Amino acid sequence: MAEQKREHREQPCARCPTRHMTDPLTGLADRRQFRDCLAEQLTAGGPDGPGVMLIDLDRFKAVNDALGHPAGDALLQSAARRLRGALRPDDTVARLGGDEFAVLFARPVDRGSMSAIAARLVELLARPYLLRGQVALVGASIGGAIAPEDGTDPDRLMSCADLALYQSKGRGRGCFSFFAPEMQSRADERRRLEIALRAALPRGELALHYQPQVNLHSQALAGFEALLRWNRPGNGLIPPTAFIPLAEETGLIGSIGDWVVREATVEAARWPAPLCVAVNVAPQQFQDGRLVGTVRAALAAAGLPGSRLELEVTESALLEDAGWCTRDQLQALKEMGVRISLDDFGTGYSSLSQLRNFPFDRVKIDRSFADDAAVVRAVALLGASLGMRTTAEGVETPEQLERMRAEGCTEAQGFLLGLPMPPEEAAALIRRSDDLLHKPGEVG
Amino acid sequence: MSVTHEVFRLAYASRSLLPEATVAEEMVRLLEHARRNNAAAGITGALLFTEDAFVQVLEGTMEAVEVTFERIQCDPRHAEVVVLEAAVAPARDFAGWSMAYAGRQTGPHFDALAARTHAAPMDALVLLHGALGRLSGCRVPA
Repeated sequence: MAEQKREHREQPCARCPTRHMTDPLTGLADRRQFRDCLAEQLTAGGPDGPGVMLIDLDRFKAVNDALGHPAGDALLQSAARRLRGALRPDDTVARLGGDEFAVLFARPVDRGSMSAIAARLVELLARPYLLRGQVALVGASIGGAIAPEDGTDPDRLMSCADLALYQSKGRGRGCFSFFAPEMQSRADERRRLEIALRAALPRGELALHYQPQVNLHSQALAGFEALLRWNRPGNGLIPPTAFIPLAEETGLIGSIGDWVVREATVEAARWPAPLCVAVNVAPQQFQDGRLVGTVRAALAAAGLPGSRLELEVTESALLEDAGWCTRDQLQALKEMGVRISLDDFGTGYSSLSQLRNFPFDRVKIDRSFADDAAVVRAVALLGASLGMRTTAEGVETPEQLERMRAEGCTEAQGFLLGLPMPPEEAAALIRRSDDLLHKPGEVG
Repeated sequence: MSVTHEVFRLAYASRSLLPEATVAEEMVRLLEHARRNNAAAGITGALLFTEDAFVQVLEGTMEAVEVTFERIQCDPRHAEVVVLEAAVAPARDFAGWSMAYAGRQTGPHFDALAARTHAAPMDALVLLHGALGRLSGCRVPA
């Protein structure tokens, strides 16, 4: 490919009084100048208001970490030149900070042309960068908003574009989204949810429900998996899928996870031995390094032997582990007698090396395989040969239960054997657990 | 630093966006620019143009290759750039060629080049050498 000679001289919008405010690294406009230009254009605006785009480089931090800040700066300079060169000279291009860029179109744009330009920019910014002999790859996520329909005030228009950018990131990055009013309402709802979730723990709105787990060989109750519920005032009982992602994103998962471990161990200590309680652990709980201490203190306070606590981790917790620190923590937990199980097996990478690299006590076969005899058999066999127990999840019919047993699973859980239930009901179930498997239809 | 005297070689493949109607003139212009810029920057290399793909090798100091490659990256006449090789090389493969070009080739297609990134660097160099071999005898202005 030949090279086209291009002059990339920054030309701040001519009407702006503050044309000297530029970003020193890239020579583009800075945030203040961009806002001034936008305000100016909105004031001068005819029937068609200006359009703005916010652009975030995806995975820029990884480049910075891997190749160093000078290389990261060089990448930002190249990205700035690519942007500048792909747009009209009178469009305003700014670096708002970090890896965040913005474009203000000098001429009215409609949604179609903004989408087309955005697609071009996504492709252009995703082309490889050569930085001191190293190839670096980043992507770009873009959000757009157009005045006057999305807003007529500069801050409002910027925040619309920002919400659209957030949407693009949520869609998997490397794409463009326009602002839509429901993004605003969703963001508002999210903010309300976060405020309410922060208060949920101190206000005692979180509760654990317990789902029975049955030993397929002895047909006896083996224990319960503790599942989190949020009794949000005015909203009823909220399942974890509706708030755990937010808790993980906001870091609240740390304190919630600590509470779950304490609450579950206290409850399990009320059950007769050898009934176990299984607790889910989020990847973030390994990152702050508190988990081992929390578990040790919880076991001691509840007077529960470590062997009656099982921690369920997902593959992603292990994959996100940059060093070996998650495995070290798991090892420390095992030394306390705590058992470790690999949860949702089959849904992620289902990596055999994961199974081999850590001595899990148990593999839980994801519920989506309840009807797949071949997969169940293979995982049960694999578990057995690696010395691990296998739990079949999502057992809903007597036929499935019989098949799981026949294929070699050691434990099972599912609606057939009992729904997640409040602690009182779990206690009642324990009392009549003797005939659990003999008359499964009457349970749950 | 001695690093600056080492030969750095970069090979990439990309999808051509040249409109078929004006391909011939575009290629003449493209090569003219490339040779002029490359000669000034001490860059040598070769260009392969298939039905829908470019494969190009750039050789020079790391700095010169970086500047040239980034300029190429801004070019709207291609897209979906995939780097096939970026490393210090023992010597220039295309010494004396500011941009060797053997005319349009029938294959391979961009999808094949981009999909097989492990095998592709070899293929690309083999292809380029093949193209050069066919050129020997007929002189291309360097």
